[in-house]
Amino acid sequence: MISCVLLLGLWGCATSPTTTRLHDDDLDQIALEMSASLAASDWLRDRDAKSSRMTIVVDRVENLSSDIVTRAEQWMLVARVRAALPMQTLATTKNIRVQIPASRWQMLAAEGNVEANPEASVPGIAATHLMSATLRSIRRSGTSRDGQITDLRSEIYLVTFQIVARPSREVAWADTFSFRREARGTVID
Amino acid sequence: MAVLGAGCAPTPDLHLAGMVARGDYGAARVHSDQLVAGRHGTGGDIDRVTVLNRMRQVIATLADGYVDGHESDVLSLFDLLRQQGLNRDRTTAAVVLCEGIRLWKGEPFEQAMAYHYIALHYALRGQWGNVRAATDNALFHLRDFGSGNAISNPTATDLVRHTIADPDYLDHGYVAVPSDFTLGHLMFAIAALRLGRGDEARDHFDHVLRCAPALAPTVKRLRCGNYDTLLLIDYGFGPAKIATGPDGAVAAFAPRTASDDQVLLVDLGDGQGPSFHAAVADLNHMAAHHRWRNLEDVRRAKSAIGTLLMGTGTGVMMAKSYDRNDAAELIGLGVVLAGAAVRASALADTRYCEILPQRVYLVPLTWPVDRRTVRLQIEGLAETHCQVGGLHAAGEDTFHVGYVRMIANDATPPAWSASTEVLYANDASPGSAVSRLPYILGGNCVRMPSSEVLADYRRHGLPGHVSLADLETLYRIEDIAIRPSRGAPADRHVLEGGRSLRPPAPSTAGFMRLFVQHHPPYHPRSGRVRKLAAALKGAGLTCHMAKDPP
Repeated sequence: MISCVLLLGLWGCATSPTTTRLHDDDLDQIALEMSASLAASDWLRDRDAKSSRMTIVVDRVENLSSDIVTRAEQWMLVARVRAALPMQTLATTKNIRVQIPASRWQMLAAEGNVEANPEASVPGIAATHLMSATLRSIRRSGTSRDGQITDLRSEIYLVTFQIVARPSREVAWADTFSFRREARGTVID
Repeated sequence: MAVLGAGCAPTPDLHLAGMVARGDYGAARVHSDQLVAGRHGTGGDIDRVTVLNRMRQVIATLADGYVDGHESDVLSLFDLLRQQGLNRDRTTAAVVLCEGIRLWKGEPFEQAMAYHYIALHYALRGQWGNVRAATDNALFHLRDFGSGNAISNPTATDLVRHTIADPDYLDHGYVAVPSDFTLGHLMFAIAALRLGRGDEARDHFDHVLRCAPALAPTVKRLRCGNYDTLLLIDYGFGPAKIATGPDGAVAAFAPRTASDDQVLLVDLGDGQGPSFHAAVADLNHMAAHHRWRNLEDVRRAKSAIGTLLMGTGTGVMMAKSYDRNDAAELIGLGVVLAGAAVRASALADTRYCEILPQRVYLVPLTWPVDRRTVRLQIEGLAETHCQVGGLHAAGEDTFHVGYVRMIANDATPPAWSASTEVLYANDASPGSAVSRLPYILGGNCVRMPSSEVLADYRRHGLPGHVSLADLETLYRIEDIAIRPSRGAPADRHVLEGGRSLRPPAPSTAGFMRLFVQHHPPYHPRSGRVRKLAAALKGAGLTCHMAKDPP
């Protein structure tokens, strides 16, 4: 299932974008949409506050896009998912916790991206499920209406989240979110 | 119309190139950092050379082995390269006035190499997703004006002639072809293998075999995947960009380090003899092909001399592969530029990245368990002999990447390039040297202060009353940065008279340069450090490191 969230990468009206690189806002929006999608999913429909505790540990974030995404940015995406309101609500309404590995949280805290939060990353806690996030992109080039050379570039970014159960590795939930960025101007110049 | 003379474009930084040639990478790193910060009077608007300075900074920093703490510099370069239409509003001015007005972004082959160095930064950090992303950007399609034509590699003159007949020729007279940047394809394939994407890797390996069948042995080694170490070795200097033809209207690339077929010899010291590795990139060859050029000089030369060519009525001369023959052709056609204004406006932009290498070798190997260094040498060039080490400790099961910028001058190579013994205990390669006492107190240790390090010092005689806080204070009063803040200007290592303790990455020329040669004893600035160092020396605890370098 793909939930397409088209975010037009348009900036102010006066200036055309000159790069299709990712922005912080892109990942913020994805985190929000993902957390809302998970919270409303069929997979969690039958759970409530009295259900057995579910601990989802994020064990892998992978960049397979054409943009450089630093380690900190990759894990910030996950941290934003965790901090999103729908995910916070899951803790009380469905007895679900999302954890980030302690070493990754320490990395983010050391860079000032997050506050120290002992509940965000509890080393050694038994995970019932594992979550992964994969970032991909599809690039397209073209020519603007008034141009003769290739001077349009668009990038469609796709972020796929997947939750698998331990130890069966059965996929419990997955969803993909996409957004597009477009820029004008010759790339080589 | 204002007429600017030939001095409107900055000249190459020969000072920087000299440092790199001598292997003085620390100085080159600091110098390039200052270029970025605009602290050198290099002339001209720094904006016009921002990309060039960033590229110099990234290359010099990698040559000196520094990776950690420099991601922001790398990202700045990546961001600039990904900007589209940088010269959107400057094209007309560049044609009328001087091409030095344009923001330098480099010829396509320079941009491809810039992306390669960004990929190398992430390869040294083991972030293969970002290696894949960076090399993906290096593999842009090329404009091929020779595809299907009698002349597969048309010269600038050929292209000027075409544009006279068809003013829009440069915009549509080409076929977009896949990149033949073999180094980029190989790095992408390696990253794909590390990410478990075998099919993707296979596609790129196959493409390399189509572009460069001579690299079959290299591809075979890389494809099999049974290696735990990847070494990248740069050698020589890429071609210089010069202005040729009437009044320097046409840009050409003149080799500084000659191309040849000499292989890299890698000796693991296991008694099996050296292995042989061919270069996977030759920038002379790339620069000589029109596909790897932005052809802006053609666009401008056509404007300046096109009408004159139309009037000559002479025949076409066949061109050779190097652009130098364009000069002969144009002179042979009797082209003469009239007027100082036309001459000045026709001058080709000769800015280029002067510290790009001439060639790159890529070596996969399995690091010998009981060895700390391997020996490298380009066949027939004894002065290139060097050692690279500081990688695996015996028994480690990880994948490592090493990078060496070989010294490329004819003088006797420095002693560190052939030495093997790590003389200074450091954080980059723990255990490679016995840590005795801090260098600032006359010892051999330049590790960051920590409880563990303090325990080592106490075992070797540091008085027990010196606490960890005291140790950190000693560094602070000597103005030595233990943990430099992000964005702090580059500084040389304390072993070289600088104020930084941050070590270069192991398996780099920077690491070997710093830790396998003797450095002068440290001269304390503060009375407190001086007093403690004298006490330790008096007790005979630091006499083994007191000697001056040979």
